[in-house]
Amino acid sequence: MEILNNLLFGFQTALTPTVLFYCFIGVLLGTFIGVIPGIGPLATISLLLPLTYHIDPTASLVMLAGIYYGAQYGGSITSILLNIPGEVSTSVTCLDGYPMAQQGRAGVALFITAIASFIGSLIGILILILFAPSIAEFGLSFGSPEYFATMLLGLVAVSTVTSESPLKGLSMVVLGLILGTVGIDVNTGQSRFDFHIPQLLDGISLAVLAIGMFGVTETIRSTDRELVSNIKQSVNLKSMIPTVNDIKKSIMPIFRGTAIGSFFGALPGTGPAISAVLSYTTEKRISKNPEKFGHGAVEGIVAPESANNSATQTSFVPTLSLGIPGDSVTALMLSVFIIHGIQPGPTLISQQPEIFWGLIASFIIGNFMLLILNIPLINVWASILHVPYKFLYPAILIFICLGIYSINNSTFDIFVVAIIGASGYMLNMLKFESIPLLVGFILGPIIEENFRRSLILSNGDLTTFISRPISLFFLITSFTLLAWSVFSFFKNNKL
Amino acid sequence: MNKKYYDLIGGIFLCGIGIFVSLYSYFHYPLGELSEINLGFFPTVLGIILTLLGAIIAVKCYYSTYVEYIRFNYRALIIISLSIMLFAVLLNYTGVIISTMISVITAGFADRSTTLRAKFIMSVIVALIVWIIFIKTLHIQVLAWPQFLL
Repeated sequence: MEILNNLLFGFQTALTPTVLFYCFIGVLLGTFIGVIPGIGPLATISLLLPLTYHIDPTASLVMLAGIYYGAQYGGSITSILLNIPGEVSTSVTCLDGYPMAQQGRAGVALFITAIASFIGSLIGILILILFAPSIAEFGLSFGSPEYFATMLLGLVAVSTVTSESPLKGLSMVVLGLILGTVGIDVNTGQSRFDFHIPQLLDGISLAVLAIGMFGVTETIRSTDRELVSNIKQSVNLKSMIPTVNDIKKSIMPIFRGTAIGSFFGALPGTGPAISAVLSYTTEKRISKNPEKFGHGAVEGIVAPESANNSATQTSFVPTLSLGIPGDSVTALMLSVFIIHGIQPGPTLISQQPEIFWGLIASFIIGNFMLLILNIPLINVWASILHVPYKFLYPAILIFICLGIYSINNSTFDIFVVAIIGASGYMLNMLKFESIPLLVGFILGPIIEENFRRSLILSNGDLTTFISRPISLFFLITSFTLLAWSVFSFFKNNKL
Repeated sequence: MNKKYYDLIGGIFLCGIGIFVSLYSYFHYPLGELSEINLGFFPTVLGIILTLLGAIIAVKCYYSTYVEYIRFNYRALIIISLSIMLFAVLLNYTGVIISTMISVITAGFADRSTTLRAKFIMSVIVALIVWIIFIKTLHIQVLAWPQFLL
């Protein structure tokens, strides 16, 4: 079968020492930052972006992806042991995970979430294998108007679904788009908004923006945070074995969670966090004993964990097959493609099969590595949580500064990071989310280029977006989504 | 201050950016026509949209009955931003090691509970890690020690 051939080919790439090494670093780092609250894959990937300029593209992507799905494993550890979400996507795991830990069942909770995450990941990878190539073929019929419309949907989705207020989310997307216009314009070779500062000719560096908005801002937000574990029990291997009852109760929630996660992960704009929340709510609604939720119900931890892991894997479906990011992290990874001169889009799978299949093979390998890392090594991770945050953040700040400096050997960039970090903090406190801004910034130049190209090809005819069926479909969906979220927030008087 | 008024500030701030962007790009960059879109089109339109959104957010706050108080951590904000900028300024004059130590100690003030001794020990540890990772392993192009010492 062709798929098996391709997979074997992928393993050939993934099992080389370099790629294996970076895969291991990625998942190890991912688990580590997943465990630490506040720092997430987004901040870490931003920090490592400068490094990836010098490494082979496949290896960089393998590492960054490893950080992404590794964090989903690590985050649940903190959620269960500390009642603090290690990752946004593991927030709901606190609700039933911590009560389980309080009942002395921390080991079981940790073990079973690792298994649930693993199953969710594998099924997500399977979906990636089955659907991405076909979607890519479909995507070959995409022209500029289709790209414009689909990315517009992604922007609308990111602003309406992830923020508390669609208006604020939209304004952040627009701000991101505007920031993306700074610099030399590809079509005309003239620069915009550089204000005669030579460093701005290339535009605002993505790494600077991302690290500023997610690394520095998060550091400012977290300085008063204490990290003290109340659960003094050491988790040994024997205490991890779940009862038969636990296993029986977990099977269906795992599959339901995986289904929800796979679907929402593949949609542009939604990702692991939302999938986890939706999965938890679904389980609670379908359950015959909803009152058990919040008090240590196994269903309440396995479903969201499978959901967030499968969503993480399937967020690569649109990214690799169409070049449209599944969510903010994959948007960042798209820029790694572009930095290395690889054109993301439907032609990626056919023209660079070693990247696609190598990535998939590395996902499989990475998840196995994570299973091993997360079960026997749980005590190691748990001990990290005993280090007070106040000793960690200065080191993080210095890494941020040096990471930024290493991109262009420019101290100007470090200044910009400080300014962006401060502004980002203030925006966040005013409840303006950073993720829409980042996605707007990344997609801005691409969307603008597609828009202009569509109009050039159609000779200024705006109806080109409506006369083509695929483009029309996505435009209508965007509009509906926008209208629906504005309307529903109006009803709750919380715009 | 009530959150409502923070929304007002946020909305007006966005309005301001929107107006600035749309006017600046309208007057400085050619707009072009629909069949030949030029530089200025995208930023101008985006600026207008942002102004509208900002205006709606600002005005809407008067109708909102939602009460929530926001606590800004000004101390952390200023100290951390300052320590980063300090690093940027010092880097080329005093080399990595010393600017690292100074920045770490400065950043340490953001958390009230660290003692001066703890800050100093942290700065040494971080400088050591920096030395191992960035200078020895990654070979970044920067002076480790101040010029006059070399």
